[in-house]
Amino acid sequence: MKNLQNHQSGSADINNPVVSARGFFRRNNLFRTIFGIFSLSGIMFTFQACYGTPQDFGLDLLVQGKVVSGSTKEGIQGIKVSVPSNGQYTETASDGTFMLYTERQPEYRISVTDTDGALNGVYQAKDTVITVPETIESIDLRIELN
Amino acid sequence: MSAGLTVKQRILLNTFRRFRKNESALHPLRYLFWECTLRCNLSCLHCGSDCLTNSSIPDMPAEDFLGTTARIAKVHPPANITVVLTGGEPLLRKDLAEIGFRLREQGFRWSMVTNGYALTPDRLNQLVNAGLGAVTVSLDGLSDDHNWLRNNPDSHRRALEAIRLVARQGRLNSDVVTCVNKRTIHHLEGIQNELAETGIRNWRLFTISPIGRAANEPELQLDGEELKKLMHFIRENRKNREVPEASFSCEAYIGPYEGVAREGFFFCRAGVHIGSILADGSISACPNIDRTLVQGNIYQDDFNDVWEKQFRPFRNRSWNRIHECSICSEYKFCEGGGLHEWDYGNLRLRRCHFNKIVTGEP
Repeated sequence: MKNLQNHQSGSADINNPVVSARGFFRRNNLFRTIFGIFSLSGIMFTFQACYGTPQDFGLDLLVQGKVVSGSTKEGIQGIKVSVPSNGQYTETASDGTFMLYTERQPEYRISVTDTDGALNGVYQAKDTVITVPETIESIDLRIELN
Repeated sequence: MSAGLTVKQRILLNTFRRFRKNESALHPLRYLFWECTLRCNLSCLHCGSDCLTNSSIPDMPAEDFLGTTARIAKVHPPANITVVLTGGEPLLRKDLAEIGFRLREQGFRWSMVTNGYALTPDRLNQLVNAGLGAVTVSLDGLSDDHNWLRNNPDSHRRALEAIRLVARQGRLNSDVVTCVNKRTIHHLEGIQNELAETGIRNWRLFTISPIGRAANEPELQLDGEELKKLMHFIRENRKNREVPEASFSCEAYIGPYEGVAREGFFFCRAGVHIGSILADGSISACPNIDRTLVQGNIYQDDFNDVWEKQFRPFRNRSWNRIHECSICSEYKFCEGGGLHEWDYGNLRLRRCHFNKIVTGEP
């Protein structure tokens, strides 16, 4: 019903009255598929507005988690969590959690470093290597520091 | 007036017409601009939005925008939509990273158009962490010309530094845009060499629409011969596969250069694939389109309703087959060109690229 209303709003081909809204949309989507196949490059569907950016179809991964103290199991604030392969970094929040999107790779080395001196306790740095299955979009880590 | 199209171009353009008509009927939302601020840290001579250092329109609260995008996501698959933050200068907002995380949480991709002036390595890192996927940076000439146009003696250096940062960030789909004017038309090779050193891969060249502040700056408008020179430069560049790859923007129908000076054919997708939420909540298509074409406001209307039930002048352009367009052989391919070139209130086309290219007239 929604589609019927949309069509009746006048957004469709005004010169060609349509008998059935369902048929109309089926036909238009069929056209779309045909265009898609023949254009091959997908260029018809990939575009950027004049004063806009390229569209984003890049693959990335949400890496999130918590850095905790090995002894107290409490979250640690102010720990630098970084992805050395691309230079991205973030810092843990007051509860030790962190979150960052990063370029998708099959394997990551995540470095965890105490950079604030004695402010939130002193901890040894740690590297964690993770392997990422192709099907997942995010990964949740729990990293203990001593 | 001969359009100068090859037989191949005519066949392809005729096929593309069907695609365009079909897409106008379906109008799937794929691209959503958000004019997230009208504040700007520069005062450019060619600014289309006429933005100010201290805008009288306050920034839209993030929650108002995110509430709207949450409703959009219920109707339009967010994974297919890139939300483009524009301005003003988006980097003047301090809450971009929080907004970015929330957009990703809702399922959207997001990107940003910037003059680069305030982009630092830390800020870019913060934004990429928040799921930023694409960036466009403006560079409008070599040092003197860019600084003149941008009204700031340090803007060229900073823009170039921002471009280097963006180019190094592998996650980002990025490009540089250059607004070509009477000064810069003579320095295109120099600009390209400068860009090549930054590592950026894609370069889009624009002309400047006589709207906003640019309406009062005749030096910013290319005449027919200069426009042809620009087309020729881009064509040769693409033929020689120069890096960064130059292409003409999708701002206008360019007749014999269609499919040559840019990938694909002209299609003004405003209101067909492209919607926008402007600083005051207005719902429109590209932010530089005449504001008399605003279709609603998020503070009074439901965006999804407006997208489905309004936008008629965007999806059926027959209203603009008037004046010179009514007798133009190419109307079927361009449908009056980019909507931002129309003074909708007075039903007047500000300029026609095709006409300039073919006749060489000012």
